[in-house]
Amino acid sequence: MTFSKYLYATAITGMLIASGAPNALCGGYQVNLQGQRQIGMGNTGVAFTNDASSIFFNPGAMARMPKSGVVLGGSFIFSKVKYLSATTNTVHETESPMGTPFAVYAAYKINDKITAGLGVYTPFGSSVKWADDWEGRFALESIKLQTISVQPTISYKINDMISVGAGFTYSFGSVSLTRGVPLTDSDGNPSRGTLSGRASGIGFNLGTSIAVNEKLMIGASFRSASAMAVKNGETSFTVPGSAASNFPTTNFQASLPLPYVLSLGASYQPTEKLLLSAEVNYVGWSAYKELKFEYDTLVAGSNETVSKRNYKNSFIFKVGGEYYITENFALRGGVYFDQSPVQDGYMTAETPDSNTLGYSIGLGYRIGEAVNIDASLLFVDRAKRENVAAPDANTLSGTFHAGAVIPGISIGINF
Amino acid sequence: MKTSYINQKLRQWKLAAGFCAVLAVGVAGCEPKLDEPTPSAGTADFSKYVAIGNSLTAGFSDGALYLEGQQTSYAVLLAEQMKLAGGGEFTVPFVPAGNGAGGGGNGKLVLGRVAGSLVPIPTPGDSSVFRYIGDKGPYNNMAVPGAKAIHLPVNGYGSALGNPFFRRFASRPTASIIDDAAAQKPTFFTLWIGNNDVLGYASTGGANDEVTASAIFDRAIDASIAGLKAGNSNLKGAIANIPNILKAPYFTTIPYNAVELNATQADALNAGLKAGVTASAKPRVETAVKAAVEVGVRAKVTEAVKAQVTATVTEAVKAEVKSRAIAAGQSEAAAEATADAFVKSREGQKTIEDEVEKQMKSAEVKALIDSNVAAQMATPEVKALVDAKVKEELDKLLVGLPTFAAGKNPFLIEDKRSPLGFRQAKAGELILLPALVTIRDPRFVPATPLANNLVLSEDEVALVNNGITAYNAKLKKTAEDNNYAFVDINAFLDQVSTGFSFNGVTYGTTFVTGGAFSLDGLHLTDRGAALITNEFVKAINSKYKSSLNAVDANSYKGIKFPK
Repeated sequence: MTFSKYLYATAITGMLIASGAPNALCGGYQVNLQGQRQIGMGNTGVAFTNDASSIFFNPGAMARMPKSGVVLGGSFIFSKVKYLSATTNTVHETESPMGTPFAVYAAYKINDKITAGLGVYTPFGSSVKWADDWEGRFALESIKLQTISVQPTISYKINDMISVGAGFTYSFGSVSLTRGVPLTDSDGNPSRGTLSGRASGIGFNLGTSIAVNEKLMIGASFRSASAMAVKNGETSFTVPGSAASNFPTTNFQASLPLPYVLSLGASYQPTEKLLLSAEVNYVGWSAYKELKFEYDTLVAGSNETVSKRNYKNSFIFKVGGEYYITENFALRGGVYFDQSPVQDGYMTAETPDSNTLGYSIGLGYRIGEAVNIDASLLFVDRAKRENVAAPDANTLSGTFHAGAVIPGISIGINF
Repeated sequence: MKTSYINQKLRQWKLAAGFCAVLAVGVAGCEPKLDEPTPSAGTADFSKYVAIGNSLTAGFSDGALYLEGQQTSYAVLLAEQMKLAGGGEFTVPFVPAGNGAGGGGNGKLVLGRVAGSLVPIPTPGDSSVFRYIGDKGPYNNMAVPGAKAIHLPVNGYGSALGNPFFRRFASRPTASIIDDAAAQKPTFFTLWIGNNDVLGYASTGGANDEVTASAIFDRAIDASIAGLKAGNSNLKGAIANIPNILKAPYFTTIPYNAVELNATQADALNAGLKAGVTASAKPRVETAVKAAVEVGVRAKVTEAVKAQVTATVTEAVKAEVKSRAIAAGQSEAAAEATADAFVKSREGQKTIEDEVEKQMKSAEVKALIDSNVAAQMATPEVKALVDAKVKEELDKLLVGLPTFAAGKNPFLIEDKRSPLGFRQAKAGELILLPALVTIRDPRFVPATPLANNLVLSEDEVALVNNGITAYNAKLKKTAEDNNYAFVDINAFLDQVSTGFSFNGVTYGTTFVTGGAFSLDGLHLTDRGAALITNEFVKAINSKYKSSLNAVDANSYKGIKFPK
């Protein structure tokens, strides 16, 4: 009893702290931590999910839920990025804030065919903080990008074989980015500027789930792209007084694209105890061409700052499995390969991205029919990657290496 | 029952242990690992590094040699990196803390507010900069502000007749820079010299100094390298070429056509310029025209007077001869004939001419001529002639008068070869930074031509460019012939002038805000010195297979802005 209270408290704390996810998770600024059972199985989920987390993984599978249910979960990201400067051969590392993405789902079975649900989760985010005197401070001191999606969803079971579902996504969040400004005052004090604002965007999430036979299931989903528009963000500068007129407090407009994600997967259940799952995601990162801030009044003599990003679309390949060693106790494991959308020369201190291997293990525990407790532990191992800064990327040359350890836990209640 | 319970517990423990083991391996495996490589000297030996150069190597900045600038010269920054790869101590002839000393008795420039805008303001200079510290040497940084290539091997450059910036730390008055450098038996040297061989000329708009002839430059470089090698035959080093100094803010800040006008201002200026030129030229033109007219008038008057005098003198001579002949007993008629004959004779003509000459020189006749000339000049006819000629001349002059139009207009610049004494600047001609003081003065009228020493004209620009090209060919060849590293600063400044990005900071050549150049528009900020350091590091690493680290240029100071 006390244990589950603690879980509730943790999940809720996670929600309140909200969702700065230290970058080190997935390609670009995507955060794939929306279900503890799925994380434990190499983050697969499009084909086998049959609880309320289908709202995220595959709206088409929600109608297959045997009962109505609620899932509350969160993860704790411990990450670190190291950077070896190609200039000074000095190693710098991030100050590693802990990130707490969360996912909460509720699904209500209206009748045997139709299930309606609501999901609140964090699909994207990034939180990176470097020391404020580090070598790349004029490219980036810190960034915090938070996104929360709210997704009302409806799912319909056409027959025992096929079900479909659709959700509307409203995403909102905030972005805050701090960079050094290369000016010093007469006492040698440094300067910096922060751009911060609130953003929102809309999209949709479609899915279908097909039971080929008793053992084999196929799932497909498409989460649409959406543009997170920052309207009337605010600039704030700390600069020498004599330069202040060049760095006014003004509004800025920006747009951060959230890419579409197309998922296709299959799961196979040879016995009651064993479930195997494999999945491919295709992520439409090429929408992220540039990071552009347009100012209402001139900042440093310019009405915009543009840093090219030139992302390309990428694949994620995942496999995972689950085995019930007792009737109520499951062990899980999985691995995924996440291809970096970042091209050579465009690695940045905000998303020092490279090809990534994720290894996960997980535990599941059923308490009777009503309660599931799932825990996962994900190790994120990004490949060491060298960057020779492209001239238009406004970034650093050097080698980045990042990694993360992400424990997470959730509770599911069926009724 | 009990056994199965124990087995079950055991299995759970095993699972937990396995779980923990996986966890431990995973946590360790996910900790990013990057190691800092250790710098090495490669085939070079940095144990005794000596830097030779001018103000740029000395750390002269903001128009003065002052302590902070010296402490972050590229030579010092480079030596710090060498120290991590077997380099030794690098001593610098530091000046006392304070404003330092530059040109004209001033210390460093600081950015200050004047009438709401930010301008470099000179501080008072510190004469203790020139106190002698040569007895505490030798110094690894042998760079001397103001030194040209041709000065390096010159004995006595440290004397009272030489350069005060060398005199303060030369080993003895008769020493040369190369002597004092070679005496330290360097294992490694850097040489960045040649800027001043064009700069003295260029920075004064060609009004002072001269561009060193390339043959003399070449001999000085050869002598310098030979002198250094005499100190250590196994010497290694790096030679940098010189940047196109004309791309420094000193030369690029003021566009040739920065006179911005609206139509009303342009009209007013044109009218003013015309009136001004007319007013200033009219007396000159009038005097010249009158003088020319008077010459003609005088010639005519003189001729007339002379004819009159000749007639009078002839009469007098004739009368004289006749009266003498009568006195000698000749008849009236005979005496008349004698007199006529004499007047016509050679002797008679000579007598008359002599007398006429004499009379023409007399004060009376001169006064007569003058008064006649004056009377003639005062006649309405001559006056009208003079006025017509004056107008004609003035019109001719005003045809070549530059006109201002709405929009951007070229500055007017002095030019002795132009009939007006000035002309419009042309594209490609450079208005020098010191002209800012003139231009920003609220009393500045664009109709006033800029002085010659504030402008580098087309042919002066060409002379400077040719000098740089010739010097750089020699510097490159010298590096190649001796197998030294070659640092292409010329190419680097070209990059900076179009925007050079370093770790998120873009450096340019814009005055004050560009980041690389200090407030004098010619010398480097600390950040600029760091960027130069990195160019040396690159070239040295590539030549000697060393692995010196570059420096984080952004961590050094740029221009300090008032709070």
